[in-house]
Parts: sequence; structure tokens; C-alpha cells
Amino acid sequence: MKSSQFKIRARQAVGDADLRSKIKKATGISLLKREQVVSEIADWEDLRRRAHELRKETVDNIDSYLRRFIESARRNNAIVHEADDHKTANKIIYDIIRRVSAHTVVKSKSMITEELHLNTMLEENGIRVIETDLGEYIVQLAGETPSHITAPALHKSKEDIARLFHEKLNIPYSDDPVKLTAVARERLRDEFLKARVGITGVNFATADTGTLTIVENEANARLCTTLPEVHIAIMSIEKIIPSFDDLPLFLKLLPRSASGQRMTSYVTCINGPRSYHNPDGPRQLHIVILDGGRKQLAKHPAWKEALYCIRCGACMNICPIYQSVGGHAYGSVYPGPIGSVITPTLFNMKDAQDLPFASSLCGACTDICPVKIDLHHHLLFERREIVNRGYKSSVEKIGMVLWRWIMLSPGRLEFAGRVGWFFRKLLGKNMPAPGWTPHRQFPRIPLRSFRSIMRSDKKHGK
Amino acid sequence: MENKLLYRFQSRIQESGGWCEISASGDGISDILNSKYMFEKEKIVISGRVAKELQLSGLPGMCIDEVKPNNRRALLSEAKLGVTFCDGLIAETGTVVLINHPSEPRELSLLPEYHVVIAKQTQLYESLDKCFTKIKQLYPAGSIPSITLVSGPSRTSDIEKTLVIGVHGPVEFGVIIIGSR
Ligand code: SF4
Repeated sequence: MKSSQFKIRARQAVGDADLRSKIKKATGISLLKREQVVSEIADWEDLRRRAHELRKETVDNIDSYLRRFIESARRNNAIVHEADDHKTANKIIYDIIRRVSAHTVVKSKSMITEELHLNTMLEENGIRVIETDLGEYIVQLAGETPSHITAPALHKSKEDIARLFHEKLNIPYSDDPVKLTAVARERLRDEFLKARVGITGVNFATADTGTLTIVENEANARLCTTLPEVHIAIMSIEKIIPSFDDLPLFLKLLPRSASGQRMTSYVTCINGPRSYHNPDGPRQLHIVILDGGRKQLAKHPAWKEALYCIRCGACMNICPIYQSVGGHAYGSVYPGPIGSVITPTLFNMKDAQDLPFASSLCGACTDICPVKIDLHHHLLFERREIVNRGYKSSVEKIGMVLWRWIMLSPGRLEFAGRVGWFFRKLLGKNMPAPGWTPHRQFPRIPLRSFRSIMRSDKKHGK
Repeated sequence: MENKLLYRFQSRIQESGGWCEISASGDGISDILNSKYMFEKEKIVISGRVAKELQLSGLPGMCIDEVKPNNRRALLSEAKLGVTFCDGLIAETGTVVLINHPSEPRELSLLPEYHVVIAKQTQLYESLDKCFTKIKQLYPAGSIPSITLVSGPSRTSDIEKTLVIGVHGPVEFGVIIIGSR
């Protein structure tokens, strides 16, 4: 999937009433639950501001925080690997798995592994990857990709899932979520007990104590980080926060914003592999830290803000565009407003040039973001960059020059209004406006413009 | 003050699908467990910390310290109930703080079907900030064991946002607080 096909996929999605109603329902429920638990916190705005400052502090000094985190993690007896790019990260991970001669890995939900296309790489090399988060398990069974960063199977109805389980797992058809969940529990528990390698992402990594924090509800991440002999934690550099003391703040913001919970059922704070104080858990803890263009992005005065994101998904839930087209249309691992900001700046601006335009610039994303990323302004500035780089068609450019020329003179604007009225009158409802009239009627243009009414009112002394 | 925290904690735990009972003394633990669960003694595994911290004997189950590490996983996979102590109760969110401990492996609160936490009322904190500050004082940097925060039973909303309790972890989660109302 590529971001360059956004328009085609968005058009398909908008035409799919069934998909739209599933997305609307799911995002609506998430927003409602979030509202309830956010409104009970009197100093929510202060918390957002503090979190923004801390994220800024970390990203501005990413090199030194990274060094400190690595030192602390090594002190905890973790084995730390740094990877400049995706290919290197994948190779490191593959080598670790090979070294312990494992053929199967259990994995909990992680966006960074989606970014790495890790599953594809491992499977091509003969390693079976088992997604254990229920949503990811569903998406993997269907051979699809997640459509939301915290709710991967948001685009599927329970009937879709019932059919999928019936076909792929050979069980009697049932669309009861309780039964479907029980099937997944039973199938996956065995895999957990057998697997020798567990792979997870990381939500927060604290520089002063080297703690890896993973937030979840199902306990699959707990199993992935407790049962296998080897745990590979994969993170990008911006997961670092300065201190263990900052964790409570982020743990106040993330679950509330993501799933409308005061706290998720489980938060795991890992401080190293098995030891006297940690009587179980993996014997080896590997941390793979990916740069993947982020150090470069961290230097950009404005777009570095995209690295403040804590991946709560709230901006997706509230975005009118996301609600209409769903996650897959974006063609990026990261959909929604943050996806539209980060895909062009971190990956490929030319391919993703339509994404910053997939916004009404209403600003709802900026208002809801727990770390106060100025999302809609970044979208606006990225639009300018895309135009400056000459990615827009010459027809559009000529149109814009013409529009500017008209708007600069009251006389020309009035004249243009008349021309518009004339054509609307002549062509009626069939007046063509590409991209607009295939789905809607061209509005009626009144004969007398607002300004001519003003003029005559003035003359008659009203 | 402490009572206010206790009530808040109790209602938070209940809201997230767990249960919370208060017992005047450690001797009440057996009664509460017996009234809730009808398991044979072999199906209940208890952390070594509970007996030590509360100076109790005759708890209704097997102490994990008596299990050989090699047999532990198999035993806990078969067990019905895992009973742990804890290192803090957070009233604001209804969260239990579990710090890894030689007598309290993570598997004990993870593999059995049910998980019950024993706590003292004095372990109540208003918020996570206060508890974490305390943890940092207790352990010098580089020696903090791993920590698990538990705020309810294992759950998912991945199928049409319908809440289902009991995915990969314990299907039921309860807390017994030794203290007074
Ligand atoms: S940009 Fe903000 S709202 Fe969107 S996912 Fe990231 S943290 Fe959440």
C-alpha cells in the first residue's frame, strides 16, 4: 500500500457505507469514554502543557538523552542495539532470533514493528510470527494491516470476525465477542508457553533508570515479556522520556486519551532480565533502538513536534476525515492527523503529498492531543512545502495564480461573481466543478452580490 | 483521610471489573477466599511474602517458595488462583503496584485463572506520583526490580468496542485490604 494512492482509496472508502458506519461507531464510543475520564481531571490542561514541555526537552536534546538511556539500560543488564535505518534494525532482530535457533516468536502490538515490516521480513526468512493482541491476531489472520494505531481491527464487524475465525480456525460460526475472545485465549496460551522469543514495542523508555514501560489491557505483552527466554523490545529513539519520575504524568495522559480508561489493566515497567530480584522473566533482554530518520527530523524547527507523539490515537478518533475514510486509505502505518503530519516528513513527501490536504483544518486534533502537538498547523505548513517543492500540477498552479489575481481587486471579484452567476443560470444544476459536482449540486449564485446590496442600502440611507 | 482513599480505591477497582474486600485482620483472608472460591488447596498458590509480611500461618494454599523453580510454570498454568502481596495501592485509578520479589515471581499474578492481591491499608497512596517517589527512595538507581501495575482483570474491546473480560491474563481480579473502615 502506498500513500500516493490516497485519493483513490479515500474515494472507495467514502462510497462504502458499511465501513463508514463501523468506523463512526467505534470512534464515537472511544471519544465518549475519553470525555468522561478526562473531564474529571481539573488540571488536564496543565498536564498537557507539562507533557509537551517534557517531550520538547527530550527531542531537543535527543542525542544526550539517548546516551543516558543506553547507559542506564546497560546498567540494568539489557543488551542494547542501535539501528540507523529499518534494514539494520530488521537484521539485528533476525540475528538475535537465529542465534537462539527459534522458529516461532510471539509478539505483542507495536507500531514500530509495523513500520519495519518486521513480520514480512521474518516470515520470508522462515520464522513464524504470532500476533497475540486480539485485534492484531484478527488482522493477521485476515492478512491485512491495522487500520488504527490502538484498535487495529476497528474496520471489522463482529460478523466479519466470526466468518474469519470460522474459516481460518475451523470453529463453528459464532459472532459472540466473548466466544471469539475465548478461542483466541485458548489458541494463543499454548503458543506463549512454547515460544522462546517474545517481541514487543515500548511506550516509554526512561533515561535515568533505563525502564521500559509497556501499556496494555489483555496481558499478552506481560506474557511476551515474562515467559520466553529472550525478550526483544523494539523502540524508536523518541520513546525516551527524561525520568522515572515523569512516568506517572504520561500514564495519566495515555490511557485516558487512548481508550478512555483511568489506567489500562496492565502497565509493565521492565528494569532488566531475570536476576535475584526478578525471579522470572527472560534470561536475555535485548533493546533495539531505531533512528529511521528521526534524528534528522528532530532538527527541524517545526516538524520535530511530530516526534512528541505518544501514539494514543485520539486525533484519529476525532478527525472528520479519518471518520469518513478509515485508516487504510492513508496507505501509511500511521493514519489520521498524526499520520498525515509524520508520513511526508519522516518517510517520503512526494509519495505522501496528498495526506496533508486530507484535513478540514478544523483543529479538533490539536485540541485533543495530550501532548499538545499543533497538528493542523503542521498540516498547513506541509501543504506550503509541497507546493514549494513543485509537486502540484500546472493546472492547479495556474488556477491559484488566477484566483489570487481576482481576489486582489474588488472590481474583478464582482465581475467574476457575475460570470459565475451567468454560467450557473445557463447550465443550471449541470454546472460542472471537478471534484465537487459529481457528489453535490453546485450552489445557486444570487444575481445581486452582497456588496451590491450593501451599496444600494447605503444609497437609500438604511 | 485514609478512609477516603480506601473508599475511592474500592470503587475504582469495582468500576474496572474487579472486587475489593476489607478485612479487620489477616485471619480474615481465609474466610474471604473460601467464600469466593471453592478450589482445593493444591489449586491455590500463594506468594511467600503474604505470610511473612502479615506474620500469618495456615493460609489456604501452597506457598510458592516451596515450589522448585523448574516446576513453577507447569504448576501455575494448572493453578486456579494466584495470591500475591503488593507494594502500593493507588486510589486515584484503582491500581495495585507489584514490584518483582524473589518470593513473588510475575507468573504468579499472570498464569492462574484468578489473581487476588493482599494489601495493608497503610499501603494506600493518593496517586502514582507519590508511590513512585517512594520506590525511587527505597531502591538506588540501577537496582529497581521490574514493576507491574494492575488495575483490573485482563480485558479487550477489540471486537466492535464490546468489552470482554479475560483475554490472556486472569479473568478475575480481587483485592483484600487488611485495615479498618
Ligand atoms: S498526535 Fe497527539 S493525539 Fe495524535 S496519536 Fe499522537 S499523541 Fe495522540
